[in-house]
Amino acid sequence: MKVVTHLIFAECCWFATSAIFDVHYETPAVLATAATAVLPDADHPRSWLGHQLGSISEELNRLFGHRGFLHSLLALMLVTLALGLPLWWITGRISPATAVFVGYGSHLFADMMTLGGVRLFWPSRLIAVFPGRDDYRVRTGGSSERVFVAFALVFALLLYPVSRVGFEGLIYRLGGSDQLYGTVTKVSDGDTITVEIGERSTPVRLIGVDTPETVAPDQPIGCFGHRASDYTRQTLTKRIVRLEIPRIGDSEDAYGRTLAYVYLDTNGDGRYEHLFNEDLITSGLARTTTFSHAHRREFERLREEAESREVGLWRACPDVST
Amino acid sequence: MDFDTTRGGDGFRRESGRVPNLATVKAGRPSPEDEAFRIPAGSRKAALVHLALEAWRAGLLDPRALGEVRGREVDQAGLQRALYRSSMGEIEHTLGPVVRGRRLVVEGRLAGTGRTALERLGVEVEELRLDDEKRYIDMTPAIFVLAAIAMAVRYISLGLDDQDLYILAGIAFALMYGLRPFFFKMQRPRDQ
Repeated sequence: MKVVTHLIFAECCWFATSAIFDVHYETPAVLATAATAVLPDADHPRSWLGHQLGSISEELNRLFGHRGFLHSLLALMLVTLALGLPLWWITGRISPATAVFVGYGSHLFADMMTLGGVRLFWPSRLIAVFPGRDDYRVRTGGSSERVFVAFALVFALLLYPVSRVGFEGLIYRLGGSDQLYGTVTKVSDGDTITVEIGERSTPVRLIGVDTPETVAPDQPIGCFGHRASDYTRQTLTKRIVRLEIPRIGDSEDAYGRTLAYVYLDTNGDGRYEHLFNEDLITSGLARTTTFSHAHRREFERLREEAESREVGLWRACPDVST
Repeated sequence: MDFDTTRGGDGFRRESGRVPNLATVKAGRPSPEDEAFRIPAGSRKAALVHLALEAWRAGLLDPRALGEVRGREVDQAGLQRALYRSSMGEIEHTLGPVVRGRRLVVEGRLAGTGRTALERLGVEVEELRLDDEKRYIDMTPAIFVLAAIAMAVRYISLGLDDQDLYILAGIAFALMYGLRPFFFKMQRPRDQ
């Protein structure tokens, strides 16, 4: 297959992996997927990578042949170990290592779908093909490859937004939410407020964030707890907010508090679109919770950024855990 | 099956103008052609039927020993029909004593079960292969393994009380179950 086909298919596979499994990724992981997706064709002197490598590619071709060793499960494991583990060690995240595995593996899978197949179990001479019937496999450079690229491109474009929010985020968003407007009358804690809706006061627990304790009777005051409470008090007290209550999952916690995202109107244009829950994480005033919700992926990414920037409790409280 | 049905014919019909380049896999003392049976490659049943027809041509097999022949005189076509209707156990039982110790040349590769069945009869099997022969392994059945995993994950997610995983595994299983006929169609035919 052509290099463009491999690149598009690899990114499609990467987005699908990230959507299904809980892998947060940034640009380095996307680049790692692309780089390793073209790597197996180093054994083909007429390929794009073969042209760049020159005599090295010719030597690889002479030693193993095209779609031999470099297109095998053995090579997939070796490349993942040789490139993925150092990337994991350097970045401190598993996503680039996973990207190496997915990128290289996608190339093998794509070539398996061509008429020629690949020697997946090298040094065995068996040629692995998928699907088994020749009529359904792709002819390299033919119209069937163009159709394959078109499908891969469509799937990649569909999967990209899903990969950012995760499959669970998609499910929660598809489930929809209820919207309520009210005025914040009391701030109990960094992540707990009371909102007056109509003439009724409702205790609200902010979804997905966990500020250090300040009012729990059986727990000591947490490091940076007062700072988080003060920030919430200063920002929200007597302010009108929009509460977004997801329809999927529990609407109340064990203490009878309504679970909600709190949105603010920061521009004064009447559109309450600024998510206050995110502010707490970005400022390093809160950790993230582990249960599923619509914005879990975004919150975790923000928390990782705050950790790397060492802001708020990530600097002041060295013993704090994620 | 592709062979003529005349008793005096040269056995199996071959493509005119194309002589396959065959090489023996097992080195050994070449035996005279008249001592060796020669059959085309195929499934276990096809291999047994062809061997029985070869034994019949050589005058070693009495067709009336087969129950499906019902004691009548049969020509090659009749014997072939009777053999295909017979159970493999009966063919092996009838064929075993007359072919034991004989050499058998197979034009191509036998399926694993075919080779085992012939060797159990006491035949010395020799496979001839094309020099440029490619052996393919069909990875389509991996789809069925994935479907089984998706099914298992649904139950695991129930145990873990993981709603997302349950929905995801359910969608995956429904997709694979819905596309099941297509996956069967995608598989490599046995004769390729």
